Amino acid sequence: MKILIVDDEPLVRRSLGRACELRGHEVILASDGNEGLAKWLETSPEVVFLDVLMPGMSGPEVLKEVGTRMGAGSKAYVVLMSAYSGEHNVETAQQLGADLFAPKPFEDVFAIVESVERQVMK
Amino acid sequence: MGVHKILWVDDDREVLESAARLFRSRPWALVAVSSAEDARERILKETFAVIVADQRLQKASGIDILEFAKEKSPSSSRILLTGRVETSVIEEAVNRGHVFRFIAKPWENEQLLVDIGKAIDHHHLKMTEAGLLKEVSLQNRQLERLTSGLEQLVTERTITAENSKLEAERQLAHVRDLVRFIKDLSNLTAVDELLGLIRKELKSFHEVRAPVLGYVVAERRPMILYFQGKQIVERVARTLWPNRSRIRFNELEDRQYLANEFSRPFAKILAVPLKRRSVAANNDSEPPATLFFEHDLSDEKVDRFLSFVSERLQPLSIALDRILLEYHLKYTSLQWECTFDGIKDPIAIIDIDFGVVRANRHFHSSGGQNTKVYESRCYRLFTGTDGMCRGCPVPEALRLGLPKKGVIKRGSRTIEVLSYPIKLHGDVISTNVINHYVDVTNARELHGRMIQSEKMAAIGLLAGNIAHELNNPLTGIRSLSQVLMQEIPPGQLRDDIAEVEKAAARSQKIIENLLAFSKGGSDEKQVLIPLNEIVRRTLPMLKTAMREHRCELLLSEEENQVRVEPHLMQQVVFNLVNNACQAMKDPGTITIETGLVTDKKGKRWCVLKVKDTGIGIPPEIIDNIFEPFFTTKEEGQGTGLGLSMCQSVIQNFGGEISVKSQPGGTEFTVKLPERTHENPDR
Repeated sequence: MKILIVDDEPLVRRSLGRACELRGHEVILASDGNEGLAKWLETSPEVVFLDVLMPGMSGPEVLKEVGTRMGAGSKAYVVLMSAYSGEHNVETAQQLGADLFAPKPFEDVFAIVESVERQVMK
Repeated sequence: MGVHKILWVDDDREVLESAARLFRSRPWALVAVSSAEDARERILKETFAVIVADQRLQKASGIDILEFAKEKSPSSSRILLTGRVETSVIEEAVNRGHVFRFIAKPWENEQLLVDIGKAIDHHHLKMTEAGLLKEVSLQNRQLERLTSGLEQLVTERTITAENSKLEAERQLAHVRDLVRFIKDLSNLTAVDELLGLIRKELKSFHEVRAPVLGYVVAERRPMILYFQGKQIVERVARTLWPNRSRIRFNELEDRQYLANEFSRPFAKILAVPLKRRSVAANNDSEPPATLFFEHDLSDEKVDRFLSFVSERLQPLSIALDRILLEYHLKYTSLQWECTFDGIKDPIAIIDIDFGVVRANRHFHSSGGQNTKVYESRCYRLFTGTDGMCRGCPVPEALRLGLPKKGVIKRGSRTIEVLSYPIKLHGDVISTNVINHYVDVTNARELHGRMIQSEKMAAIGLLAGNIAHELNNPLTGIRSLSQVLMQEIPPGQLRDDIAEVEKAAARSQKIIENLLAFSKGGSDEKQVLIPLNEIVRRTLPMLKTAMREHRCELLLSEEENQVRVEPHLMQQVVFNLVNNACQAMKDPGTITIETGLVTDKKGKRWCVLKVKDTGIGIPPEIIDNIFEPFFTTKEEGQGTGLGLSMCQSVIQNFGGEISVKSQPGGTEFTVKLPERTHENPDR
């Protein structure tokens, strides 16, 4: 699977990217919202890990922008990630157009990747 | 002087003839008789200057004739003619006849003439004497008449004088009465005494009944005073009496007023308004104090009574005025006193030497110290100290003449003192201040708590931010470690990575706790949580404080569940342990122990004990340590709120906190009711 990871925290990008690669996926990394949007439009990933709070463009803004640019064209499975656990939950994430909500910190990074795989492969 | 008549009695003719011859040369008329009878006859008819009688007559003696003559014609000079001079004859003649001369027979002519001449002179003398006597007696009589007239006059005058004296005395008595009345008035201090005095004064007027008095003290309720038997009754008037400034006689208005006031008819009424003089009492809307006399006076007595009353009207008015003014002043000052006493805060007037001039009740009553009556220094009375309180604003307020504020300590209470200098009559320098003491302990505590919670909120916000910032890299560290652990084959390296992962996990836990700890109050509810869990969650945050000391953790193995707000309970544990650390200057041991006890009533309590091996708390302050702002730490080291906060939190959860201390160790014990899931609220 082609997986886009958008997060301004290098360690998160790196660890999550490595975990995905280890599971045999193609990984595209973006370090902020703008870059994430550009790569999303450019590469049409199947899965997008999207951080909420980022400099430039936030995760929800990227989602909105993708929605307007591609309409129903994007079929990517979106995982919204946030360290501010009080701010979002699964429901608000779904309202924003995401499929899964992953609160940070992760207990186990592989568990997240595996749960996404299960959802997408279904 | 005319011819002097001389009677010569002698029965000898020759003697008579020779005498007649002899007397021719003299202006004398001789009446010569020869018998006693003739002589007596002549003596009765005529007045003779000289009567000469011969001792030896035929039918009588010369002495008899002379004796007769003495009685009948006393003024005549009597001469006895005698032949021989015998002592017995002389004696008899002198005694009986009071003879002027004795002439012996035969006489010498010359001598005889001389003797007769002398007798005539004697007669004249006698005559003059008698005239004088007569005149004198006449004058005496006149004088007597005059005198008795005078006496009459004097008596008359005396009576007049006495009458006028009586009148004067009456008037004097009258004036005295008035003076006495005025004097009595001046001694009065109360209105009822005044009424009593009026009644006494009216005793002589039987037809006048006991007076009724209505009066108003400025802006207060009208009062009515009257006699009930001998008792004076004072009560609030039902209605106001007529507002008239003149004396009224039997007017309907007054009768109606009194009838209404006393619920009985009144017939004849004299109403006497007592004019008010003092400025303070000048209020036209209030009727003047008025005396009402119910009476049954006849017309002529009414005049007497009226003049009696009007004479006393002015002093009465003045006396009443004075009394009412005193009432007013007393009332006003009482009002002030009550006002000040009613104020909960202590208020006192303090002089330049810290003497208490006046103070309200709360100044005294709130002074818990053993104050002696003669003690007047404010600091002794108020704070029980021996010198000026630290922070006292009085000296500065007096020096500058401006209101000043200061904060003093009174035992454990914090008192704000507001000093207002008093300037009298434009004095430049004030020597007195009014001190208003406000106990700001609670306000300060509240303020402190507010600061504390603000601080906590800020720390919470900060901690939250930091936590989130840390969460991201921690997530990366932990996730990457997990990735590495997948890639690296088992061995030393993979174990190292596993340690990194664990450390990151622990860090995450700490952050989570910190977030919970700093969240503060309202959004967190009381939950059932084991006391041990609270302790465990709090300990990581105390690592720094405890790093120099050894920590013994003796956690109960039994389930010790309590119902608390975890973050508040964590703060209690944090404070107690932190205090324990600070109580030990040298490295020591902190023992944190939990357990369960059952009290006499069978109630189960979860117990937390925090023990240190420090210097202990001095016995004299151990009672104060739970009071807000009580701190032994240096300025800036503590708020003095920690233990007070602990106490209020624990009490809020239905528990209690206590302390035991001695040199070498202090032990705080927290007891909280045990809660179970089956019985969460017991």
